[in-house]
Amino acid sequence: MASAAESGPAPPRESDQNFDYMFKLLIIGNSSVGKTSFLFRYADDTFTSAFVSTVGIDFKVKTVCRNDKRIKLQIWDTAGQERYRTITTAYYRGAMGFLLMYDITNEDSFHAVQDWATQIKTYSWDNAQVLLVGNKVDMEDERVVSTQQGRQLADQLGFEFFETSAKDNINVRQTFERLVAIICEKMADSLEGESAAAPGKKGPSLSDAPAQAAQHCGC
Amino acid sequence: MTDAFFGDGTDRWVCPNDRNLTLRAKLNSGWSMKTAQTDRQRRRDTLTVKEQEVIQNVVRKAECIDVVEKRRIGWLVERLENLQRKAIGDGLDHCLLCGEQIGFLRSTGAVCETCQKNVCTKCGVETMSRQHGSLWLCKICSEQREVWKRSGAWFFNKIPDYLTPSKMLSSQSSARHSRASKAEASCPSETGITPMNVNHSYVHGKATSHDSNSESESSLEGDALSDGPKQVKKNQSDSGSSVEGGIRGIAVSGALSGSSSLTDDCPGSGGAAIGHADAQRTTTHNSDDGGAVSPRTPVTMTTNLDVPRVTKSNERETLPKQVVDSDLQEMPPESESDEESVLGMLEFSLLYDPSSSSVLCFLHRAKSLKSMDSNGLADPYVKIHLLPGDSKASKLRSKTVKKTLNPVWNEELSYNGITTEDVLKKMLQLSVYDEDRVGHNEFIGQSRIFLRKLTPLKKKLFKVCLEHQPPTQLENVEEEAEQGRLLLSLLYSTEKKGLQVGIIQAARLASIGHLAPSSFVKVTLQPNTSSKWKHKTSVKKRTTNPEYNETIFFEIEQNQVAVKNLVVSVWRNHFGQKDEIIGGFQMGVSSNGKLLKHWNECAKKTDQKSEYWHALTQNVDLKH
Repeated sequence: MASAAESGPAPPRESDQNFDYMFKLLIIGNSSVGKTSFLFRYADDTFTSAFVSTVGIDFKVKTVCRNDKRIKLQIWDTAGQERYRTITTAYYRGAMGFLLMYDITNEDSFHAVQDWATQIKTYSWDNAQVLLVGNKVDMEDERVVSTQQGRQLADQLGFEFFETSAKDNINVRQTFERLVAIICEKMADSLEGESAAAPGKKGPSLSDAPAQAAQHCGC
Repeated sequence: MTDAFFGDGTDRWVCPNDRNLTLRAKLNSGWSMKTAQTDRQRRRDTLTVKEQEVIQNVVRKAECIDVVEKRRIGWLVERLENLQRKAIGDGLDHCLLCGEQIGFLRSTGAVCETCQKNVCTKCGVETMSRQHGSLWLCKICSEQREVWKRSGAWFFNKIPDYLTPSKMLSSQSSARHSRASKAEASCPSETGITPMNVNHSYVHGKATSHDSNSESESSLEGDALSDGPKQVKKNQSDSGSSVEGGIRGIAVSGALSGSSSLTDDCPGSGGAAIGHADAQRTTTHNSDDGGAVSPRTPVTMTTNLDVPRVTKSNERETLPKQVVDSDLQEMPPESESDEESVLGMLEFSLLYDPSSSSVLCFLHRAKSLKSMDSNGLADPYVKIHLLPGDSKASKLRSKTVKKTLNPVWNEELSYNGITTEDVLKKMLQLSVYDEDRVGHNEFIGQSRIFLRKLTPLKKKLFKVCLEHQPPTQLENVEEEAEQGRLLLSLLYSTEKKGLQVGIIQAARLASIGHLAPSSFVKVTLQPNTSSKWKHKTSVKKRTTNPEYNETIFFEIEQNQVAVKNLVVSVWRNHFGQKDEIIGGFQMGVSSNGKLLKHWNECAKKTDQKSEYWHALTQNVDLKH
């Protein structure tokens, strides 16, 4: 498909073009569940146990390969603290995928998942994909949220579920890869279902996408 | 789901009663906030200056990525458009794309699954589909799918904002060719997606821009920017941000334009803020395209103008300056010397367009300004002067960004009537001031750029360290006090037997105090033997850059022209008082320099219009 470029305008510089897709992902969850650590582990493969509260928002960029396609991930790390909520929620709308994170040693953070899910539903684009992530499995001794509970909630919300540790680097890469995979599937589906319609003109309707996420609505 | 907002057990959210609502309406604090929250709590929730800065930096970083992404999408879209344009076949018995007859000799055809048109195998692409197995697509449809996927449109249901390279190129070149399209040239961002550019011409004090202050003044407005239809819900979750919207407003709007520039289907989604960002993006991008550059006037050093001290200061200023090919992402780290970093950094771009005789100044931002106010902040704005010259008349002023040491202006200011001589001689002085409501506005720092450093039509990005004010101002070291400029056209028509004088526009007219003059132009052909030889234009009100656009016709034999003088003067019109002359010039065989050149050109090349800017001075005998 890239072969059609021969007579087009001069392609942008290398750096602009060295990827095929760009996905914006967002990590959300209560304060101190390990969002920033999770991102640092994934993007830079570093970990520090010192807790530095994120100011508002931050992001990192990482390019990954999947099925010969280069995907540029812009991963937004949000502040869990409520005082930044105005800022962080403004970024929901551009995100294609969410990692909703809680801390398995912190019950509050688990109970807040429901609220966070509501936030996603309120502010994000309808077909955004969400993974539920229980972080800090390295602290098994202090665990207060069982894997069973986590999985149950994920099922209820219609999200996929992972337990991870940014500290011991457990499931970090897998979590991101799964999220990217889900988004890629959605992308393929979006064209698949509508192969008769010209995508450039009308655009596939993706109305079925948020269905699972909608079932849990508490009202 | 309202549970999340109203009493889901945690009792932080209380449903507001009528009295609450009435009060809130009076307070302008938005629709909902945490009633259970005390003022003290709320104060704790507001962002500190440091936090605001951190956030702004992230937003800025994100903007860079966004520009690149927009460009990438623009390129994809353009490629698709080109492909569509080049399709020559009918898609029936000729291949839709290449027009080759299908089924004739060796060409076998296929039907595109999407558009149902016939294409030859060379112009079709066989793809695999999970549902239908293998299927054929014509190259256009396959490219369309590709764009749909690559741009993220599959997700957002429409192609996100983008910047097309060719659109910008074409507007640039058309601007070069005609004066008529000057407006375009002076407003390059119009070629962008969201044209929201500010184009001041010598308006001081009269900010026509979308004032970003207004965005940051109350958090309510900041919130209003963020999400159209979902605003109410949003505010409900908003942690009582009615106090100090400050950077919140900015950050949020930046967030929108930065990460989710797709919100424009929401009514009322951050127009101004996004516009700002876009304007900047476009301008940044635009400068890449100065490909075809008209030949540059050879740079000759003028002798008497550059007082040694000035030259020196200029050299010093060159050192820390980073002239980058205006890609924000590739900016080298700023080098800062101790003393200068104290004052701050200024980022701006300059573009000189010889075809419209204009210099455009795009003010981007400043960083780490010296704090001037007691709160550790400043209310910075930028003043630009064209030096040497009447500093009042050439003054441009940006809007003020309140309470910040890292202001983002994203404003475009333009100078018209800049001749090639000016470019060689003059410089722009950009000074950053702190606006004080009481007392004198305080000077923070300045930077000077010689116009001859600019390549015509090539936008140059400057990141400079601000400097202290030189001991003496150089402002009035010029040859003669220039009162302004006038763009004049001359044409001798052999057919109509007469001289046609066009009074097009004036620039940088000297003003008294802060008032821009209401002005008109008087034109006389001397010796004045006929009343027909005296003309006045209409009065243009209160502008230092009036556009008269009037043509005056003098009936005169061609051989008579040589012995005549054309006296042109610009007058200040005082209501109820005697008009006062601002300045003028005299054209004729006895005049010199450019005036003579213009006059001779008109006499020699009959039926050809010539157009030049002339300086208005007071030392000419301007008796009419």
